[in-house]
Amino acid sequence: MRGIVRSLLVSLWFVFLTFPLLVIKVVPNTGEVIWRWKNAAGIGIGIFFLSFIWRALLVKRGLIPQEEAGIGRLMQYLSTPMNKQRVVVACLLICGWGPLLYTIMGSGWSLDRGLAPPLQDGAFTPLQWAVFVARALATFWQEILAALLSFAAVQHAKGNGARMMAILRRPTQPGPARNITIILLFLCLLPLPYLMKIYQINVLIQTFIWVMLGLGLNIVVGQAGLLVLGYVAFYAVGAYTYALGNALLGGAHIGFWFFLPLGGLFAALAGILLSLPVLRLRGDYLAIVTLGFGEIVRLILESGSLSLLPFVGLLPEHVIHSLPTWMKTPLNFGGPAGIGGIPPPGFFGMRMELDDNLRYVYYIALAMTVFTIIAVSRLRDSRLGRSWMALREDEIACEAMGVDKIKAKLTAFALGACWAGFGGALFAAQTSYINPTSFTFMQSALILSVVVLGGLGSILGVALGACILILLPEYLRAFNEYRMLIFGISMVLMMVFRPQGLIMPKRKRRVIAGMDAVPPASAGGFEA
Amino acid sequence: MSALDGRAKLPVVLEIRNLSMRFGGLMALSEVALCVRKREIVSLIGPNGAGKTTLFNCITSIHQPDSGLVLLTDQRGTEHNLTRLRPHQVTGLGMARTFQNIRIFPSMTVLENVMVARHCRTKAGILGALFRPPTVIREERDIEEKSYALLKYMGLEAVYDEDACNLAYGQQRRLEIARALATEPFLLLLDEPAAGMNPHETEALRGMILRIRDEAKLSILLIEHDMNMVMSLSDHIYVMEYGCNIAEGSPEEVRANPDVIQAYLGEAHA
Ligand SMILES: Nc1ncnc2c1ncn2[C@@H]1O[C@H](COP(=O)(O)OP(=O)(O)OP(=O)(O)O)[C@@H](O)[C@H]1O
Ligand SMILES: [Mg+2]
Repeated sequence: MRGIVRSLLVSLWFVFLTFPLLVIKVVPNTGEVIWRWKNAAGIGIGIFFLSFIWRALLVKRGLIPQEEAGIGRLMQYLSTPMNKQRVVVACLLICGWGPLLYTIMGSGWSLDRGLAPPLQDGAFTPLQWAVFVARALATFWQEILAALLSFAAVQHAKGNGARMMAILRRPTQPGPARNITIILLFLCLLPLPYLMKIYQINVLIQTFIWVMLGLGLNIVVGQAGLLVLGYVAFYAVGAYTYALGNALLGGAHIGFWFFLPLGGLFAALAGILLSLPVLRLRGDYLAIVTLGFGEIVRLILESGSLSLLPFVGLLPEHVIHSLPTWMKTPLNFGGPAGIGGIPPPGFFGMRMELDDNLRYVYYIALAMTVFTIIAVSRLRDSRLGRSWMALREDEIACEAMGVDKIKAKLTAFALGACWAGFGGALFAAQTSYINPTSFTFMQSALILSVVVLGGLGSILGVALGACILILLPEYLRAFNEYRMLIFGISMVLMMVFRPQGLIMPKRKRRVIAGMDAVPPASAGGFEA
Repeated sequence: MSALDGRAKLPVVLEIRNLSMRFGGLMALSEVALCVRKREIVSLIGPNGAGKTTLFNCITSIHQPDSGLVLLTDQRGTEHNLTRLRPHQVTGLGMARTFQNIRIFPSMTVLENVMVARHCRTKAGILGALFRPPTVIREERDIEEKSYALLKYMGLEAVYDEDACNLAYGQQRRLEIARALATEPFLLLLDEPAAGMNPHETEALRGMILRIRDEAKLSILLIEHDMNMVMSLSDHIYVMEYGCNIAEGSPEEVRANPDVIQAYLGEAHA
């Protein structure tokens, strides 16, 4: 009873909090106020049920005692596997099949979703079937996911949880299962640009870029343990390298493929430049300084130009005359309006349609993501990666064991920034127009969220985090104005219930001379 | 006096002259002198807060001393002044240490802990890591094998794939020694290696230290509070109190020294 009262109060509180946002709506032109009471009811009911789940989870984690939560009856109900299974499956089915029911009721069955099988002369070619199956999978992925999750929940309730997890983990462990998974994933990704709309391809390219950004930041934050908040500055350096470079010396032979490595290089240089003054800083202090760096870069971009004239002006007159003109002309960033007309990547001078160009960028982004994943996992397993990890774990011991701390930090900054530079150049090529609004602190925070949500230090986790954070808002477009709200709530929930991120970092498991690891308890000490 | 004469014949490995260091108003070290010779086990004892750990930190360049000299003579006979070097350079020269408050890398595996310490004896850089040429693959395998061999030497091979933080206390102490040995030192500094061990483990550790000295052919500078261990292991003992040297000599001499009994053993003998 107490629990119900509490949930009621919580839901009232939330209705009150979200009232100005969700209930009151002012029509801009007329000033007329619309009261959307339906929303208030929705929030109230939703929070009422959510607060039970919330408290159940808190009790389970031992954060509050069970008596205080006032959910004894609920816990008792859930204590039998059968009931638990019922609840979970019900929730999943409501969430997953909701869209399908909605479609069926709202717009007549699947024809609207472009699902009609290609009926021509009653015969299907294998290709037609493949396209049909692919479309069906792409259309009903939510329902399929819900079905799979319900199945998993049932198995978990039956006590098969450990076995299920083992099966789920297998694709992440080296071996044939992983190879097959990777090949399948790749085969799924390859035809996508030809199955999707322009907008969707753009979203996917963004996702790839964000995977790269996340993995780059992961080197600095996850592996070397240096909290950097202005990471987007390096992304900006990459993008502006391409945009400005193209404006200054772009031509038939100097294009994307020249500026991509250059963007990475410049970003790496910027990383080294930033890391020099902050070598002694750690934790919060480092975070604040790098935050400032990010803002400085953005302000420079917004202010419009950067010029050597203040320095050049100090020189004697005749020296100024003999200087090359580029030292005397300011570099124009285009200010808040940005820079446009950035050409898409070239393919051996071939002319392409707009759509084909986008598809081409998609494949470049895909290839670069694969390259990034390979590169960062190799770095992680290398001598360098180990020194970063040691630096993160214990700076003093790391130095005492012969690791050059300064060099390790510099390489971490440079390599981390380098990938942001690649991503930036790709971004400029994708959008063909850039301005400072793409490089604000929000973006830095979002990249950091990708890394933290996915799991600090875990490559698979960061990739997953990027997919979720970039794709989720797209799927939440159905709830357009509230999607940031949902986004924020899910981040808070994440931090409360799984602060270590979705996926724990995986280490290279080593097998030496047929030895198998024995738990320390049974290994014995000196006496043995 | 014959013990001292025998000692004088060995070449000096580490020499400390007039080393002073202050923390604000506290004189943690004042005019400390110390000398370690080749293949010796030298102990440094003194009551809590005497400045022993601070001395270690100065030797390994973790702290910068205010004045004084730390001279390390490497295997080829070249003398290096350590006071202006950075910690990793000191380690690179061939001096390694363990820590009083254990400083393993907790969420790395036991094997990786030791592999990190191979850093200063290996070369692979960024390009090597990215392209993995045969030399780098060979180097990695070499790092792995040498590290595993060291774990075996310290009796930790069964737990090589555990997270280091899951090890028992005594195992963590041994892991620190294994890690220090992986840097291929000729001088090993041990800061209270037996702290927190039971008598059994301490006894085994004693044998292990002797074995390391003889098999790895190195000199050892040892800080320890366990008097049985110090007296039976040491070739030479230095005693410190309030940041100053108060006595030195062979175990017998130190045991008989009234100043030492007063300052340190006093409590036990009172
Ligand atoms: N980083 C520091 N800052 C300020 N004072 C310090 C610092 N490190 C040590 N001290 C002080 O210096 C003195 C010597 O400390 P030290 O740790 O060297 O003693 P110790 O001989 O190793 O003692 P123990 O046997 O307890 O390990 C102590 O009074 C200690 O409080
Ligand atoms: Mg100490």
